[in-house]
Amino acid sequence: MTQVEFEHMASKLRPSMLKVGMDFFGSADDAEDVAQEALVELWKYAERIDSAKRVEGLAIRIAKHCCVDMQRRRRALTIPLMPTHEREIEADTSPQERMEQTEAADMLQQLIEGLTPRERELFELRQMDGLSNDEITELTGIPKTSIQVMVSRARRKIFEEMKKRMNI
Amino acid sequence: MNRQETDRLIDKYLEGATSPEEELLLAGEVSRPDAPAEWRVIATMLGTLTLDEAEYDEEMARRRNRSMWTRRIGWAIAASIVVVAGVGLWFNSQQESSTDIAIAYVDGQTITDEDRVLAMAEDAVCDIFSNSDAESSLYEIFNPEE
Repeated sequence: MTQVEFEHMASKLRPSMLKVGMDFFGSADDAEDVAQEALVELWKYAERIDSAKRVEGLAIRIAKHCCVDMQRRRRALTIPLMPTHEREIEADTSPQERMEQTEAADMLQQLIEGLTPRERELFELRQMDGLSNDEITELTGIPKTSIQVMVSRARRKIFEEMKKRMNI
Repeated sequence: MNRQETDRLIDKYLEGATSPEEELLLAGEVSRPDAPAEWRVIATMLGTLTLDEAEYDEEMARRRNRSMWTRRIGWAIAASIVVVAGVGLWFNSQQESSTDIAIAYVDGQTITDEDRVLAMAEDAVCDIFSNSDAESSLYEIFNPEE
């Protein structure tokens, strides 16, 4: 997708993203920040937007992610000002846990790349686009039972491999 | 959701049979800080977008619930004020009507005008006790025990 095409599409998606931000923060300035961040984030998915079947659904999911992430960052900024015991209660995750989460996400990405192209496509349509098997059937024409079998195979492969690598 | 229900949902997820709504529900469960290690793997597999969407939806549902209760309490307070005010007004009107009623029946006619009734009563008493003060006569009529 070219930048011009993206900008054209972004102008159509922006109102939905602003609404997500406005509902969450109740402030026009914050909603602007959410829409801005969400569009930057969406640009990272530009490659898959060409194949994304429901761009608006993806855009809304990204906007929601940006809201939660912004709130998390704001909370993190106020935590150093709190007394130690409150800091421990308020902090969502420790630096150690955050590092583990990043490592796990990288591992997942590697394992997704190791799937067959069809398994990978279906895994991502479920995971990133948040589509149901029925919606994928409607969009791709693949029978629902076949989708379920392929998604299951992909998920089980990844699950078992991750458990093995993480010694679980 | 208890542990068994979450485990059942994880099995359904691995079978590729969960709906997007069930995956959001699962995301809320497996991302808890006290989640077992296997659940953490599922959380990673569900991905940041699903985990954060679940958190967003949960937060919005919590706020809707809170504002619904605030509205209900507001309505309850408003209704209580209306009831108290209504009872007060009714009580007041009952008191007023019991003290201010003045009715006279003259030649088959009913007269309710307070000034006219009092004037007619005064005239009547004056006629009967033409030598006495009308007010003290009225007092005697309406307080016969004394």
